[in-house]
Amino acid sequence: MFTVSCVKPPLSPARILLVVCLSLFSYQIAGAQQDGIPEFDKLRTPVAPGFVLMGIAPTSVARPGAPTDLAVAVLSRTDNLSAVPKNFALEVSPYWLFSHPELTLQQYKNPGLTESILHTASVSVATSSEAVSGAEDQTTSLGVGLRFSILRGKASGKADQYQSQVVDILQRLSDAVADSIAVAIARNPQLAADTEALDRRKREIQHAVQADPASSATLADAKQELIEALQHRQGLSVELAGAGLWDFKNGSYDRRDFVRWGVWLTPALNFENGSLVAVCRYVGDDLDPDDNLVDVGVSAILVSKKYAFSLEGVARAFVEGERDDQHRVAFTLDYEVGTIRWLTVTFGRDFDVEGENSLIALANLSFGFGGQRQLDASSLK
Amino acid sequence: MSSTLTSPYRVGEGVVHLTITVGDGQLGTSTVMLGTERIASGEAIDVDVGRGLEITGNVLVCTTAVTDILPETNHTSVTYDLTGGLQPRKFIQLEDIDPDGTIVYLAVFTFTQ
Repeated sequence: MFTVSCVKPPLSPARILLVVCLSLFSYQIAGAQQDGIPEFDKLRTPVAPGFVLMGIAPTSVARPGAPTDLAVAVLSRTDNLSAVPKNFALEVSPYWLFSHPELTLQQYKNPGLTESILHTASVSVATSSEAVSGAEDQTTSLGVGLRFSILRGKASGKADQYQSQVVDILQRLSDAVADSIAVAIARNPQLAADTEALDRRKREIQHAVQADPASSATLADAKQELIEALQHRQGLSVELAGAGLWDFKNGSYDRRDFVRWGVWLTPALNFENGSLVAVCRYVGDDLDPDDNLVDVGVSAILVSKKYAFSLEGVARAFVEGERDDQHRVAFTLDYEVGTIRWLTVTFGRDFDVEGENSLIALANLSFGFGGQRQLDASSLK
Repeated sequence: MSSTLTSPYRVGEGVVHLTITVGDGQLGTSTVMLGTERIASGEAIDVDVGRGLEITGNVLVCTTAVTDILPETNHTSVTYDLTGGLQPRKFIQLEDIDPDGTIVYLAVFTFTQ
């Protein structure tokens, strides 16, 4: 299979023709493989398992950041808890609804087991309604999921470097405000008890210091680097998730069916320039036990300045019934080449249920005209 | 206006001690002035301010610049712990700020007998 992506004009007519032809060829092959075993990344512990189990990707998701936001989101969509909302998606991290003055950045960077679970726990809830064709019944599906990490790894060493840069800028701001306020109080001691006047003066000084565009840009750049370094954690991480799916006939609680459930486990070992990730997913289908399945996968990624390697394998086993097991292996190489910049080649073998296509080789050739490499730092997360 | 506070603090004969903690996992750094003299600065403040009798009538100015670096929350907070006076006191300031925003907290303590 050949794909071409990230095309940056201008291109010659011949190259455009090549791009179109290869894209069409890629589309045909991709379409033929839609029923195959899912790609490795699609098996990883999902951010919102409640949505994934329903097979939906809601465009509008309520993500309340405070208890009042959560209350408003729920009450407004449930008609004050008197009805099941028809198409509703909610994702909430209970720990972060509230302020935690005791949580320092150092603790956030190096959490223990309990802290890791608390910091990462999120609940996803989604409902979807659809009328059954030719019937009066309307089915409302409700998906509920929980996700958390029992281990998060530690922030990369670069985080300390960028943190120092941000602190230097913040310290200048803090010093400027403190110096000005202290001098003002020395001149007028009554000011020490005048909260409103102090607050006005503080904001004026902060505004004046931050009005310097160079300083603001430097702070923004350093912060962005720090934020990325904090999220790109290294060491052992273990993500867990579970979700259940219920169907309600005509929105009635008494006429409910437990339809499907799933659990995900993703242990990973992340390094500065690589990662080793395993995934395990079980999906149980109460309506059709023959669809109960286990997916297991492993991925190894190594990234350098000029090239990147990825090797991944995925296996699927059906717990009940007589369907054959499936598995896939794939090797991907990213290489920096001249003006094209990134050449991505993927070779693989995809073994389907019938075994008829067991020798099909999957080759994915991508020309990254002006685009990004497929395997970059974000692939390690 | 919870990002600015003023309060008296009753001292005794002991040494008054101040700690400042930036909470909610955010990044912040502080400056502490006794009168017009800077006595401490940095990310973690843990400083002896002075003996009660010596600092009576003085004003302690504490500023803390906090910036939002966590994608999980926009909560920010600063906790001031004053000990060594007649009673230990804890002051907590809380503010939700704009995503990626920066806020300056100000606390002014006047030492009294």
